[in-house]
Amino acid sequence: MPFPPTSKPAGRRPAMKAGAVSATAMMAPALILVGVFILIPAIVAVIGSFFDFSMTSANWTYVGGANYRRAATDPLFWLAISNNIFIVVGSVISQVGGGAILAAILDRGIRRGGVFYRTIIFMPVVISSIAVAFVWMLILDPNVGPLNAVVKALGLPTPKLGWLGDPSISLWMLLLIAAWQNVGFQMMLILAGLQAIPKEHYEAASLDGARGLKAFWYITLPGIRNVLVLATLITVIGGFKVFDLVFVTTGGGPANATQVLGTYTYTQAFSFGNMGYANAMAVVLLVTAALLGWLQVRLSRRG
Amino acid sequence: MPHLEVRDVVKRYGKVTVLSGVSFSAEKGEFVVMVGPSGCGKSTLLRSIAGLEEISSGSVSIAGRDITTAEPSDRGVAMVFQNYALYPHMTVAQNMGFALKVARRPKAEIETAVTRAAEILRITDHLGKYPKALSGGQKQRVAIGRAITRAPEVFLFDEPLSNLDAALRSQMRIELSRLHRELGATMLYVTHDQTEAMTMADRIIVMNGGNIEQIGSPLDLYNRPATRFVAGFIGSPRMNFITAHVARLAGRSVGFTLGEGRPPLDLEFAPGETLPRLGDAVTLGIRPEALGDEGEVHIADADVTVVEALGRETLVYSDAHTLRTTDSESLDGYFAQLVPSQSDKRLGQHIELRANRSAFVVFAADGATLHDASPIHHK
Repeated sequence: MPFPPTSKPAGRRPAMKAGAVSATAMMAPALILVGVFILIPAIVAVIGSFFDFSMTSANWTYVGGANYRRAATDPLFWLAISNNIFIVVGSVISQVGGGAILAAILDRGIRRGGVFYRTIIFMPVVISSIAVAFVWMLILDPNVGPLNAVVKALGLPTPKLGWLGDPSISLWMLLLIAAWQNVGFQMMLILAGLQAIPKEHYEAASLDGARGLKAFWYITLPGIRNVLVLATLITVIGGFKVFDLVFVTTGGGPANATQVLGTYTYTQAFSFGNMGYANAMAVVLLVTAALLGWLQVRLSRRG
Repeated sequence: MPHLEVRDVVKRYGKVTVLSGVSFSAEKGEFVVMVGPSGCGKSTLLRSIAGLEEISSGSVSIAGRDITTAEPSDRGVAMVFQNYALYPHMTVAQNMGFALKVARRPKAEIETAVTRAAEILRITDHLGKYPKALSGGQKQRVAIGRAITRAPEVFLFDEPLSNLDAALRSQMRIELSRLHRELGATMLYVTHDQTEAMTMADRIIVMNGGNIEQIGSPLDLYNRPATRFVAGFIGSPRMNFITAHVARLAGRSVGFTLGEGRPPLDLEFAPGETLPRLGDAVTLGIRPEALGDEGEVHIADADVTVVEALGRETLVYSDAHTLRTTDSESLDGYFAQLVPSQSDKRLGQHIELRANRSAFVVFAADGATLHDASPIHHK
């Protein structure tokens, strides 16, 4: 043979074996990362949820299900969950609904500048939540923020305690910030779904007598059904997991008005040192997110 | 009264005119094929009749009713698209019954219509399947079935067979012809494939650059092309075209140059045919099957450059050196010639290109046919 082979021209069996080995090798970095940063902490959290301990405890005290029973009777835990649900529902409406409307406008409503608007609306998605939070804290600042200035200039009343300081509106403000940051992502998802529907389907439908609302109902909606399900699930999971935005802007305040599972867990763990209790709440959050994630995978496979 | 009548239809996109005043009509039950190269406006015309394009001026009427501005679904037409356009989230049966469902017809009626169409198209076994589980040919049958259930006045087909492979295409051609006979419906069919046009049409409309070049039966177009464009478009391989000048005029006898230092080719023009003037530039046309070793006229000596055995016959391209064809299939100015497959034409062989006088067609500089060839009678 004039040249040595660059790879083993082996039979079928060894080739498959080599394939399995190299596949494992290729996946190893991802598997190790997932193991170290997700799987092991999750297992530790589950175990820890049955113990009473603090950051610096030398000994863990086994307490059985006491941490879970405590959560069940803790009004703040339930407040946090209800705030999470508020954010979830509000986000689905504002982000998926708003994203769908924006996508429809970009798809059909405007003749030019589509790429420009798409880029502008998508931009907040790539900014870190911390930066977004700081930008909005500036905007909403009762002393130097431009929002107050605009509202005052219009002759309208501004909240005395500030936009984020008033318990009756602070959660709404968080919803607004989250929507501003994420609506572009949902818009892109839905826009891609809309544009994947072939023009001929609408033409065939118009010959079949389905135009306007009927075309939307029979062609558009089934066409983007999977995308809408996906967008909704992403938003729901995001709504349960929300932490950084709340933590930076309000820290769960004022008076727990914006307390969510993420921030409450953090507070219990690192402010009060109740690691066991925090772990139990983290497990509740984990199970919720995992269930929804499983649902997401299942539904997206169906399409 | 014609069943479908298209009158002076003009379609402009901004400054671009796609259809410049097109008129034709189709009788009830007629299979009319619109054929032409891409961009000739045939699809736009079909879509205008369907109501998918708004026309700039002109009128369309079906069964005596002016439908120029009617909604697509109120025109009494059904359309079959090139890429099927089946609704992916509906089963075959739902696809076929969709129009009736939108029209809120009773379930029993929808089912009867769908079952009947499925039987005609032999897709009864597939009624419960989704489009993605079907092959290309089956999908196109479903698309045709969707049209049938609506029982339209006019069926519109927009290149329905272009996405199918060659074998399936010829099979579907036969099926469409059968379907046309069975339904007795008026059908308007767009294609760029002249074989489809020739094999299926009662009448062919040849379009070019937004205009109708000629309307006629398949053999009419083949034997008596009205223009050089039609002559080149209908028939495969293409007609050979040679540029020539009028060198001699004597009564109805016209002499054409066939190259430097050669005696002119004299052709007798029939009464009624327009005579060219002395010195006019013209194009002479001759069909590949009319070229051979024998014949009254010696056109040129040539060398065989390509031999394509097609089985029943053989397609021979030859290089006549000084005399080149224009607008030819092989692009090199070679002469195309169809000969019986028994003939022993070999690559590089030196041959004579000959033909009978009656085989020549003469086109004026503007493309109009001045002189027809006589149909060839095969022995």
